[in-house]
Amino acid sequence: MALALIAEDDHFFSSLISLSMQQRGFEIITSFDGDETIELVRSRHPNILLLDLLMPKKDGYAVMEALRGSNDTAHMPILVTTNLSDRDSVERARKLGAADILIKADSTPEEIVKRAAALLPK
Amino acid sequence: MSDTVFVAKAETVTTSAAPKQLRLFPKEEWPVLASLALPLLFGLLILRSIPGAQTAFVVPMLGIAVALNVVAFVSVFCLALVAGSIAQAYIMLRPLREIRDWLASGRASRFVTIPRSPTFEAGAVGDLGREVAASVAVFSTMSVHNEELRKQKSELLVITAHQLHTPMTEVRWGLEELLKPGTDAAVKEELAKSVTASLRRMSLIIDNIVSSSDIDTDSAGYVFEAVDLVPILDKLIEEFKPIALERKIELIFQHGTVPSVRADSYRLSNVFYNLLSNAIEYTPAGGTVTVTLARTSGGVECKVSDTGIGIPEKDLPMLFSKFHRGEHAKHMRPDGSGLGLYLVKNIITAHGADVVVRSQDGAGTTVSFTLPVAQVK
Repeated sequence: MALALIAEDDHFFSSLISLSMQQRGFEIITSFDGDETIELVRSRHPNILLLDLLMPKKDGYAVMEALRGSNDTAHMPILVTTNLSDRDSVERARKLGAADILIKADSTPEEIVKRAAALLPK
Repeated sequence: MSDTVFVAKAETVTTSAAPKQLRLFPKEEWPVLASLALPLLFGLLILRSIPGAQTAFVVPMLGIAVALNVVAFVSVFCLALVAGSIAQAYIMLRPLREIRDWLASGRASRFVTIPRSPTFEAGAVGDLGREVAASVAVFSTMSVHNEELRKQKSELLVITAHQLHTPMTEVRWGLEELLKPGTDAAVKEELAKSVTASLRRMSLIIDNIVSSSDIDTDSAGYVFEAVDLVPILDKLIEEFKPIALERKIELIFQHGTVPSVRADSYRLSNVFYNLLSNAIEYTPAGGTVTVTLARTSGGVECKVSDTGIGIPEKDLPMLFSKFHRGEHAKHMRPDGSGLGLYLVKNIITAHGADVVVRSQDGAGTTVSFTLPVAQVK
């Protein structure tokens, strides 16, 4: 069973994405700020990270920078889920190594699960 | 900078001065006379030295010489006059050239930074220079202010769009989940509550933007009436309970018997919503948010306190400024608008009360104000 870390400070989004992912057979852990996300990635080694960009303590960009700078976590697939849809934010997330980017306002939890499943190593 | 004072002195007219001695040729005119007479004298001597020169020849020649001499003299005089005028105009226009160069260097920075202005002497040109400098200073202040305003408005648009996106997505996701056939009844109820809370948040975001326009900074448009605070707060506490529970924050409402206050109930409800929202937002799990109403000699004291992250001392003076966000707040909640406390202050001020904030960095914040008791008719 694949382990997914959902880094999302909005509890409502977090619980709905978790529910959908559990229904599709994912094992779920959740974090609500940047520091907690880095800590959980290092201690639990999830197969995939679903990452919000605007989070307390450290934002999603800082999380990606920290993870990409370490050998253990450099190649972990990251699916960015955000409502920052402007070109600069999307471009910046891509440059920092986001495997895929989903705008929450244009997606559903089911779509997020599908895209997350597609990013898992075969 | 000290102001320069100019004193216009009246000229003294002396009437008792001795009359000037009348002279046929004053001393100042001797060079002119000499320049006219000497060539004539030389011409006469030359003509006289020519052997056999007749008077009939000498007299017309002298006439021509005098005429040429006068023409030459007048020409030189006019040329000197023109050259003098040009030189004088060049000197007089120096301050204008300085103003021109100074304006050009200011324009290079779109008058955001203005270089030191030249020193202007007394006189019409100096006055003009001072007036231009003063106008440029006003223009510069306005353009800096406008630039700042433009940036703030653009940032507000981005923040608002993002703030609205979040509850809108929550509503959409919540409704989709509600419509799924297999959703459990208890989950449905929770979803419905979340959707309602998201709609309420959207409404507050819109209210905050509308109220942040300068028109709303006084009490024009307020409807003051006798307002019972307890039911308003009961409703809000009920609304915030799920989110407080989710974040493991204890939410307490303490009140004795308090009289009705004179207030605009809709705006006051927004004040409490903003304060409760801030308190919950900036309090870590395990903390407490307490709302207290107490009868005091001045009216009813309303207090919202939390055991949250607190406000650093350096952020306190700017706390109520429009769009200002403290360091801790940015760290904890990156997408805030910086409008909440600005509106709280405006609304409470319009009620004739002061907002008092007591905060300890890392140990919590208390916001309080005292509303007047409503007069019983």
